[in-house]
Parts: sequence; structure tokens; C-alpha cells
Amino acid sequence: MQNNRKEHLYKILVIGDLGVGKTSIIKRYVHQTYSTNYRATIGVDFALKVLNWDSETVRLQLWDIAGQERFGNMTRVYYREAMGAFIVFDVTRPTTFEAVSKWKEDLDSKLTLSNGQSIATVLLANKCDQKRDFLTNNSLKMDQYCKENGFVGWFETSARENININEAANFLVKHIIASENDILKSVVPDTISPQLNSDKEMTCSYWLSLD
Amino acid sequence: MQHPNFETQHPLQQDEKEWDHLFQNSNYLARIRRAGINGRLRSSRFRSVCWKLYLDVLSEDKTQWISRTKVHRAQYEKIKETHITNPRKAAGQHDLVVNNPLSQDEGSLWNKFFQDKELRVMIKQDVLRTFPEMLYFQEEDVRTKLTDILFCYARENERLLYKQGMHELLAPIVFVLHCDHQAFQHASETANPSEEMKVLLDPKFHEHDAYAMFSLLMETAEPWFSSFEREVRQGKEEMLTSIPFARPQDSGPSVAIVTKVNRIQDQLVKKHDVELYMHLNRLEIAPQIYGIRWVRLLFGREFPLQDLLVVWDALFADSITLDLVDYVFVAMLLYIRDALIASNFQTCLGLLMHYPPIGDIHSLLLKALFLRDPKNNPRPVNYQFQQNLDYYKTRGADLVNKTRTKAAPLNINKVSSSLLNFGRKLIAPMGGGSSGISPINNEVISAPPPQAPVPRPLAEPPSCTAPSNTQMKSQPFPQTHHQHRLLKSESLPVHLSKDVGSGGASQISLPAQIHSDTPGHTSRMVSSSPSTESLSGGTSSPPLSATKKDSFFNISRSRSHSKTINKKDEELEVQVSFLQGQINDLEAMSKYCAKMMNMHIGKIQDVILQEHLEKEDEVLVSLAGLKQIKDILKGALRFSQSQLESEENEEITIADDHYCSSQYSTLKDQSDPDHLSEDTATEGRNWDDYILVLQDGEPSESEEQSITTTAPLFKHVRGLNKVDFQDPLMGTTSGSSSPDDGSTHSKDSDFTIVNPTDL
Repeated sequence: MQNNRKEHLYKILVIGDLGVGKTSIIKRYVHQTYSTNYRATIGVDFALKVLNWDSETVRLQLWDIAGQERFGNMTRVYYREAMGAFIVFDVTRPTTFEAVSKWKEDLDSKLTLSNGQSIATVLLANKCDQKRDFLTNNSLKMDQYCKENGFVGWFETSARENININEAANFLVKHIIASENDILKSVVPDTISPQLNSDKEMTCSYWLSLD
Repeated sequence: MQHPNFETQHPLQQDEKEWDHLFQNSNYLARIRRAGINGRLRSSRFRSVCWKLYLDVLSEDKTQWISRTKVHRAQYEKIKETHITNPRKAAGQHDLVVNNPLSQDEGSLWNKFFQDKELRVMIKQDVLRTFPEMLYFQEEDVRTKLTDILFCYARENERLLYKQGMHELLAPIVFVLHCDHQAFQHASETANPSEEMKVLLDPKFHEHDAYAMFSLLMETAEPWFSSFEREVRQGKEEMLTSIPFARPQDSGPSVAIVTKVNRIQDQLVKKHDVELYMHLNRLEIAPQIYGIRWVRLLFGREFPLQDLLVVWDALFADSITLDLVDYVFVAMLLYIRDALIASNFQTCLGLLMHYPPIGDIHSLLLKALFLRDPKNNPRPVNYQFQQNLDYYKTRGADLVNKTRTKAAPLNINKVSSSLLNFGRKLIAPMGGGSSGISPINNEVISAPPPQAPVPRPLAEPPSCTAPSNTQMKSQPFPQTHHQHRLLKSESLPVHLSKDVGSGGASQISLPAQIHSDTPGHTSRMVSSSPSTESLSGGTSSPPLSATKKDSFFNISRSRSHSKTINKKDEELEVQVSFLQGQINDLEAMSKYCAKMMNMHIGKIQDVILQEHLEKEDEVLVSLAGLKQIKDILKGALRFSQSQLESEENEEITIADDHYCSSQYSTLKDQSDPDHLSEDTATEGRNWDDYILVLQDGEPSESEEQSITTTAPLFKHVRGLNKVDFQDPLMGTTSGSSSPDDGSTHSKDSDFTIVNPTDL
């Protein structure tokens, strides 16, 4: 087996209004299962997913933040050191889409990368199995919306039918790696542990050599 | 348990007897408070009445019970009328200018109607997700009750409205009332109960009573749900925010819950366990990450319902201010403190956010009481946090309680009757239990050398199904000589199935769970490899040389296991906690023996060395032998090392691998081919859950090691059908019917190794 394999650890937030399917998406992505029986998330929960990324290992720490937590000052602690985010809404409930921009604002106001950029954020239109015509009716509008609101992209997803979950995650990871490389280039080139967060000395991503 | 005549008496007679027992005495309130704190309401059929007293729904003066109850019920009737049944009538307006469907006017009834609808949808969404594993909460009328109560509460408390989590404070109240109603109805079919009983336990007012209890509980819990920010009070906390290295959670205005959990961590944890406090701070684990859920739900997700009710008995009985919450919080942290200290950020989060099962809930409560008031509460005798062997049984490899939700819904009748029978079950013989339990005890135990290089890669949370599930728990034995702590070998990503070929056994699985007893001395390790399903496509396979050197046994386990287990009802849980208690006792006993032996051996040795006896050597050799036994008792030396001396001696049935072998024998029939991991197939072993991988080629080296250190090599005894649960590390534990089993293996002949350092 190859030694000295590069490892990346990324913290990814999964946010959005309550009941849009955040936990289900994570469950589907990490455990390949779906149930209608998940309990409401209280506060925050997390899960881990390991990916082979080219010759490297990517660990995703997925933070599942309860829908109601946007209120109050709690999210700041949950957000810290995240490298990417999914903002989820439920295509069958317009109010959850209205909340998307509020979540995005909350996120951008509390978290930026060291270069001042906001973290890579992907919009997920979940429960698309319940509203098949969503894509055909809204595709262009959604592209426009993402551009205007600083999302790197969007996917219509279904945790139930396992639609686009892996694709969305891969897409996000790609953007995270790209933005990380940008930062690395701009920071002192020979640091071993890049400082990715402006206000804290902790790093969100690091390399680990195993021998 | 407190009803010895349970079976023989008429149910109502028992009811009356218990009723009198609880409420007749002149100083009854103090008595039932003690009963609640001491866990003696577990099988009571009047728990709801006790809770009403604790929560101040009923006054201590019994003559007012009926009138108070009627007042509360009438109040709810009115509230419900106002907000649900007929909101228009309540407003009493028919002015079309104001009450126009298109009006956005704040006071518009229509506007309110739409707001109400939104609020109801939000509540309903959580009600549908309340205790999904219990059939009772799937019933439509129960869901309607929950929704109505929460809706009324929200409308009565406009500032707070509905906040997620309230539904899980309400649900146990509704459930407890229901259980008491059921039991009472059953008993009163054939006799005439007292007037008080009839009024208090009238199922017609289930919803009313639940509302009264819930709203009084919320008087204390309300600030924990509130998101209103307020400036942190002056004083100590104020100083914290101004220090140069203030953590993010220290700065800025704070909501009450954040202040509360931070105060618990910064003051109480610091006071009771500085090391743990420093560790959590070093990892920058803010208490609101895990603590908010603990406090808001009053630990509702941390314990199974039967245990949770016992915790609530104590919390409510202690004081309506729920003052004990803080100390239960600390006790929970201390319970897993060794595991936390040995873990990195990710694993700590895993432990905290997917709290491992507690064997004996009562000891946790005792600890909490002791922490709060050490002078007036006894120090819990055996408050050691043992690794819970059943961690994976109940939690599976899962994150958000998935295994629970996947389990077959509990039968409500079963649950309520089990409430009544709980006490008896606890003391009931284990008959039939061993067969039920055997598949649980499927962890393989190994003892790596104390100085073994332990891989220390990135962490992985124990309850994540991502490639490997790691967990480490340890018993606090501060007096241990080797302070060397085993660091978790967590999270080398497991090489999963797809292309095992090249790596062979060493690649298959990783040490994923380490239980370390007496840090640095021994550790148990279980690798529960993720089911293949959990690893889509590309999973990584980092080098494993570190583990290989330790010749750990690798066990892989499939998902089917947790499913099987989850289908068992709480009866099994009772038995497991009973066994766990036994194990704890035996472990404590053997530690004690080791300590005493150590002391006496030391004395004898001193004397002998002074005496210059003729056959001093022989005595010293014997003493060395005794020291070994002492080390085995202590857990520092592996019980079965002698086996290594005679590799070919397969008859010796020291069941190092009893978990696996029992696994093998019991699970074979249940095994579901779908869950057979490819690892298993590659190895040609058909074990469904755990696979032992003997590290061939290692023995000779390990043998040498084993003389000076505790060798970790596992010996697999094929075809062993024993289902005994013996912990070779401790040498005294037994999970099956006979706790003495362990001693049968303690014959001197089993120990033929002389530790040169002792000579």
C-alpha cells in the first residue's frame, strides 16, 4: 500500500430550514440508507464520510445543523472552520426556499476564508422526487439565483431516491480543493500547515502522513 | 421490586397498597421525592401522580388534589377553545374591514389564521418525528394531542412560540400519563377505586393533564429554548470575554442555554476534573455543540426511554428548578472522561454527540448527587466507567440513532407492561438470556503491549458508519502505574472490500474500537468494519503497518448485527444492564484483589530479602508467580498467555475469542448473506458479524514479546461453542449465567510464564 498518502479533512455544513431533509441527505450520503423516521435534529449532529480523491484521502466532516438554529447566536460556533456548505430547501415548500437567502447571509456574515472569500456553498433542491417538474420549470431561474447569491452551483436532489447526492458532494469537494489551492498559493508557499482561518490559529485542513 | 406480592394480589389491591404507600404518610412528599431520586418509581403505576407533585401541578395538601386538578383541566379547556376549537368566536369580531381574507393587518383574523397554519405545520413536522420507534407515537390521536398541546403552549407563550425539542419534553409526559391510565383502567375493572384515583387517573383528561405538566416543566426549561440574546452578566464570565485568547463561545452576547452549558463546562467540569476540562478546551470543543441537546431534551436522546424516565424521576423529584441537570451533565462527562481524554477532536465529538450506553443509570444519578453535595450523599462505590460492551449493540455503527429508528416499532402494551414488570425482571433469573445475549458479546479482546506503538491517525467518530468505527473507553484508574495512554487508533480509513486482494489480512480491517482498561495496560479492541453499503465507491486504504506490528485481531462486522439486536425488546436491555452490573462488580473485585495481593506480596518479599533464607530463590520464584496472578487480576497481564507457549494446543478453551466463537455459533443461522462483507468472503470465513484474522507469521515474535509485555496476539479456537462471556483481560468477568466461569480458567497450570523482570 502506498504510504505518505495525503489526507484532507474538510468540515462541511449542511443547513437549511427545518424538515427539508438535511439529516436524510447525510444519512443517504454516508450510510446509503433512507428512512422516514429520523428524529428532528436538536442543536447539531455530525457524521463522517471518507472519499478516495485521486490518490488522496478526503475526509468530510458533515455537520448537520438543526433547522431552527439560525436564530440565536449558536451558529457561529457550529460554523467555525467549515470549508464548504450545503444549503438545502424542500422543493415542495416555497417558504423553505425563501429561507435559503437568510441562511446564506447568516453563513457569510459569520464565516469567511482567510482570503476574505465566502466558503464554497452548494444549493440543494431536495425532495425532487415529490415534484418532478421542478427542474424543467426552474432550471434557468436557479442558475441565475445561484450566480446572484454566491452559490457555486445547485443540484436537485432526493435523499429518498438517491438522486444527485454523491454528485453534489463531489462537486462541492472539487470546489473546496480548488479554493484551498487558491489560498495556498496566496499564503507563504512553504508552510506545512496552512492557516486557513483568519481569526483562529486552528487549521481546518491538514495533511497527515502515515508510515 | 418494592411490591413483593405483585403476582398474588388483586391488581387494585396492589394499586391501593402502592397508593397508600406513596401518598398516605404524613410526610409523604419528602418520601416520594426520595423514591424518585433513588429510582424507585421505575415500576410504579403512579409515576404521573408523583410527577404532578414534583412539578407542582398538585399541591402537597391532598385535600386540594381534586379541586386543583379540575382547575387545571378547565384552564386547558378554555385555552384550547380560544386557540383551536373556535378562534373566531374568541375574537368575537365580524368587521369585514379588519377581518378580510386579504388583509395583512396584524390583528386580522385571517392573518392569524395563516400564521396558525404555519405554526401547526412546523409543530406537526416534529410531532411526526417523535420517538419514531414507538408504535404509541405513531397513533393519529396521540399525534393530534401532542400537536394541540404544543400549539396551545406556543399561542400562550407568544415570545417563545414553538421551539424544536419541546416535543420531546412533552412526549414522555404524555407517555407516562398513558401508562398510568392503562394500568389503572385495567385494575379498576373489577373493583372500586378511591375518588382521588378516579379523578387523577381519568383518561378523558389525558391531554389536559399533559398540558398542565408540560407548561409547568417549561417554566423551568423555557430559557433553554429561548434564542433571545442578552449581554453576559458581569462578573467572572465578563472577565472571560476580555481575556486575550477568548474562545468564540466566550465572546458576544449570549443566549441562556449557551451561558448555561458554558458555565457547566467552565466551572463544574473544571472543578471536578481539571484534566478533562483542559482537554476539552484544548480541542476547542464548545459545550454548546453537544450540551444543548443534552439540556434541552433533558438527556432525552442520550438514554433509552426506560432509563430516561428514571432520570426524569430524579430531576423532577429533586427540584422543580431542575438544578440536578448540571450535575447529571457533569457525571455524564466524567463517565466517559478517560475515553475523551484519550481521543482527538473528532472522536470526542463522536462520544459526546452519540453518547455510549450507560449500564447502570442509577449510578450516574448517584454520581450527580455526590458531585453536587459530597457531604450529604455517599460516594458512589463503583462509579467506574466501564466500556459498555453493548455499545454497538444498541447504537450499531450509527450516527443519528438510525438503528433505533429502523427497529421494529415497540409495542405499546409491551412497553407499559414492562414498566410494571421492570423491577421483577431485573432480579429475575437470566433464563434464556444467555442465548439472547450471546450474539451481543461479540467483541474480541486483545491486550496490546503497554508500550506498543499505537497508530495515531486522524480520528473518526465512533458512531459514524464511515469506514471504521472507533471508540475507546477506559476505566478511570488513576493509580495505574503506567500512565502511558493508548491513543486511539482511530480512523485509519479502512480498506474496504473492493480490492482487498493485495493487502491480505492486514488490510482488511482496522482496530476500530479500543476499550482500554487501566490506561496503558490493556486494551480491548474491536474493529467493526463498516458494512459494504456504507462505503460507496472510493474508500481509502491507508497503510496499516502500525497495527500489523501489534498483531491486533481484526474483526469485521456487518450491519445485520445491529438490526438483529434492535429487534429485541427492552427485556434484553434489562438483562444486559444486569450483566453489565455484574461485570462491573467482578472487575472491581479483581482490581481490589490485585491491589491487596500486591501489598501483601511486597511485605513478604521485604521480609524474605532480609531473612536470607536458604531456599530464597524458590520462594522468590513462587512470589513471582503470585505477582503474575496479581497482574492478571489487575488486567495488566493477559490471562491466556500460556497458550502462546503451546500453539498447537487447541484444546485449551480459554476463550479469548469467546465473542467470536459464540458469534460464530449463534449467528451462523441468522446470518444474512446480503450482509456478508466481501472481507469475509475473501477470508473464506463465513462469520456474519465478526471475523477474526489471525496474524499469521507473527506468533514467534509475539511470543517473545509476551514474556515481558502483554502480548496482544489472539488465538482463535475453532469450533468453540462456548458462549460464556469471559473477559480475559480481567480474568474475572463473566457475562453468562455463571460468574464463576472465569475462575475455572484461573488454574495455576495456565500460567507458565515467568516474568524475568520479577526474578
